[in-house]
Amino acid sequence: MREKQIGLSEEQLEQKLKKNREAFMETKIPEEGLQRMKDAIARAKKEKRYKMRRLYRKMGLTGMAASLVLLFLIPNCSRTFAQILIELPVVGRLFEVITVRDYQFDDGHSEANVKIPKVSNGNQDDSVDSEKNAVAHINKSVEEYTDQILERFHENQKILQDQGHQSLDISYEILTNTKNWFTLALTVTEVQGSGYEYRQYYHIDKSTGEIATLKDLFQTDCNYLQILSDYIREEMEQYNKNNPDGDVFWIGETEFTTGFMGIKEEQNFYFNADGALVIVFDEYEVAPGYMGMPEFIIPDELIKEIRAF
Amino acid sequence: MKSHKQNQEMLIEQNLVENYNRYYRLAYHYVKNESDAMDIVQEAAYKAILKSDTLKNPEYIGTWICRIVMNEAYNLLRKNQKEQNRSETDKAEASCEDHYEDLDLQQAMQKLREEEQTIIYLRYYEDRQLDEIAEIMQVNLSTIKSRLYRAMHKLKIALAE
Repeated sequence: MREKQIGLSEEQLEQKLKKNREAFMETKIPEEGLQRMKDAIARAKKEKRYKMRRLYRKMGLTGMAASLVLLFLIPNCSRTFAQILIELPVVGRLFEVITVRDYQFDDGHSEANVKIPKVSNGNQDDSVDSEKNAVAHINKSVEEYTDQILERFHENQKILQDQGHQSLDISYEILTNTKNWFTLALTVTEVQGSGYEYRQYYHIDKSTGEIATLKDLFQTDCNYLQILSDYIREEMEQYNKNNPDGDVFWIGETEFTTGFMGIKEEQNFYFNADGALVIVFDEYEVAPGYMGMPEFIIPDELIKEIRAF
Repeated sequence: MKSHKQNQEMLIEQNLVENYNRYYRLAYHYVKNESDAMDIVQEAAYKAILKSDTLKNPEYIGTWICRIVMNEAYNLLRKNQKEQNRSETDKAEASCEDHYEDLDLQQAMQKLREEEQTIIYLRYYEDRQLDEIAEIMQVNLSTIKSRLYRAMHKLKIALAE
C-alpha cells in the first residue's frame, strides 16, 4: 500500500536515525559508573541474605534451626544434659548479668545500638577463686571484643560521613544459668550494605568454676569430634538430598569454597531449653549466608556413652 | 553446587556487568545527563538482584533487565518533572549537556510519546528485533508494529517542517 508522500521518506528518516545513533554511541561513559553498579549489586545481595535471616528470626528461629528442630526431636532418654543442667533444683546462687554500657548513636548515616553485659557471681565470699577468675576472664574478653567492634564502627563512621549507611547492633542473652552451668551469648549484627551476624558463646561450668569449651563436655580420650562430625555430616547430606533447590550445605572441599571438614575443638555450642547440646556454625562456614548460623541439635542417644557428666 | 536461585542471581549479575554500557546508554537516552544515568543503572541493578527470584525465564534476562532500567528512568523523569514544575528556571540547562546529535531530530523525538520514543530507541539505537521490543515492553507484536509506524510517521512530518 503506497501512501501519499508527506514529510521525509522512510530512507531519509532511517538515514538520519542511523547518523544520530553513531553520534549517540560517542556518548562517553563515566568510568566510575560500572564500579558504582557493582557496589549496588553487592549491597542487594547482602541485603537479600539479611532479609532472609530477619524472616527466620521473626518466625522465632535462627537460620537452620527452623527445619532442624522439627527433624531431630530428641528421644526421651534416661539421662540427658537436661537433667544435669536444668532439672536440678536451684539451691546455689545464680550469676547476675547487668548491662554496663548501653550505647546509642545515630548521626543519620551510622547507627549503633549496643548493650554490653557484665557478669557478676554475686561477690560471694564462698565462691571459689577459679570461678572469680572465670567471671573476670569473660568480662575482660567481652570488653575487649566489643571495644574492637566499636572502634571499627567509628572508623567507618568517619569514612562514610554523608555517603552510605551502617548500623551496628550488639545484644546479649543468658542462655543457661543454673546451679551447674552458665552460658552467655553475645550477638553482633553489623549491616553495611550487607548484613553480617556473629555470635560468641561464653560458658562457665560452675561445678568446677572453670570456663568450659566443647571438649569439657566429654570424657578425656574419647573420639567426640569424630562422633559429632559424622552425625552432622549425615544430617547435612540428608538435608541436601531433600532440598529441591540443590545442595545447600557445603561439605568438604567444594567448587567454590572449603565447607564442612568436621567440627573443631573450639566449635560454638550451647544447651537449648531441653538441655540438648546444640552445635553452631558461623555464617558462611558451612552454607551460604542466607542460611544464617546453622545449628544442629545433637541427640543424647549419640553421646550418652561419652559425656563427661 | 549452586541452587537454581543462586545461579539465576549470578546470571543476572553477569549480564549487568557485561552490558553496563548498553544499560547506561539506555538510561542516558532518557535523562541526558551522566549523574542521573548512573543513578538509574545503579538502582536498576540493585532491584534486579534483589528481585532475581521473580525472573521466570532465564532466557529473558536481557529484556527483563532492560525493562527495569526503563522503569527506573521513567520514575526519575517523573520525579524531575515534578521538581521542574516548581522551579522552571533550571529547565534550559538541564535538557542538553554534550551532544553531537542532530538537534532537530532530537527535538522531534522528544515530542513523541514516551512509548514511541522507547520503540524508536530500541529499534534504531539498540538494533533490537520487533519481537524483542514486544517482550521488553510487554505488549504484543502487532501493537509494537503499529506504534513504530505511528512514531516514524510523526518524525517524518516533524522533520519536514
